[in-house]
Amino acid sequence: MNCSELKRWLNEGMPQGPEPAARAHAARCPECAASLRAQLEIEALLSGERHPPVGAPPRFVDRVMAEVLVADRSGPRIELWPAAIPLPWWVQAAADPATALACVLVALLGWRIDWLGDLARRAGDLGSRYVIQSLGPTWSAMGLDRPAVTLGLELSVLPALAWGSIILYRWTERLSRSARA
Amino acid sequence: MVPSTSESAKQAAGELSEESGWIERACAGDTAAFRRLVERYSDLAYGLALRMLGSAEEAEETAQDAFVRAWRALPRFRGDSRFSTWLYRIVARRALDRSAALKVRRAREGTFEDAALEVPAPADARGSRVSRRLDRLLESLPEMQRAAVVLYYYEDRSVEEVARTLGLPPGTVKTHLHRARALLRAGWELEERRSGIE
Repeated sequence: MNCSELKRWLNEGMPQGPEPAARAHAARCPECAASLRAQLEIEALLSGERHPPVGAPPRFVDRVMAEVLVADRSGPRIELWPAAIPLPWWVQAAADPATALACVLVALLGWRIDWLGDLARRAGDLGSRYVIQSLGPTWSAMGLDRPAVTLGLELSVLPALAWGSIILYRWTERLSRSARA
Repeated sequence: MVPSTSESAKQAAGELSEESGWIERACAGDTAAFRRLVERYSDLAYGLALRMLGSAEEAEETAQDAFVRAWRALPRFRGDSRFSTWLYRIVARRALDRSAALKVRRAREGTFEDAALEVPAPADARGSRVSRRLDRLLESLPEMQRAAVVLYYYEDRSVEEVARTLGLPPGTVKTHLHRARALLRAGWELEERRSGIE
């Protein structure tokens, strides 16, 4: 063993195999002998023989629990759908806005069913005014100018908007978290 | 009377089963169950933070913060590892973050106080002196190297466990340990030459 091999052996934490060769070299080289002595002393200290156990300060548990009791467990993240359920990502991503939309529709149906008809008429008018006129006869030929189809198309925009908002929110949340880190 | 191996195993199994009950209840929001977990692991969390940061005040804040984060994250704890390993990871990462922030703050304020002196030292005079020397040298190591040394030696973790705790590949942990040993030894030899202690 030479000087650089001994240093490498010391850096590896002095595995047992090459120890006789290392000690033989240290017996001939004063510089390596000093390194070996230093490493042995460091390893003995690090191994914890002389380190007294460390205990948490008095009333530490009480202070932690006081913080825990006021901690908001939900955190800053919006979780309308439990993440633990093993669903494909696209189902989970669509679930939040779809659930929100379903709740709104069910509430409307239960509360004022006539509002839905009114909403459909208004949506149909809007569709006719802005979409049908601009797309012209192609739209009519495809049968997309019927009020029910128009309402369906317009309602499908809502979950897309909600989904987009949540994706944007989570993205900004990730950005702010990485900026804090 | 010393308990037999099978008795110790039974006791450990009982403790684990008791602990999984606490974890389950704490996941559901039971703060009393979480308190039992804090009581069991407060020394471990505080001790690790103290070894990594060297300051009692910073260690207490770090351990406290880690427990609060653990409470928040507990519903997402899947039990892939033991609770202690999971908590360890949180404490180690919080301590690394705080250590980096402290370094920046001290550099800005120009204060380089000997924080390592707050770590309890052995009672005998020489033991105390060499132990404090080692603490000073540890304090001078880069964060990741110090974290690897603390987890590997003081907390008696394997290289693989240290790697999981720090979120690094095992090869990188080995490299940190190699470099840390080389730096510690170089510093030690320098101080030996300066002080003439033998």
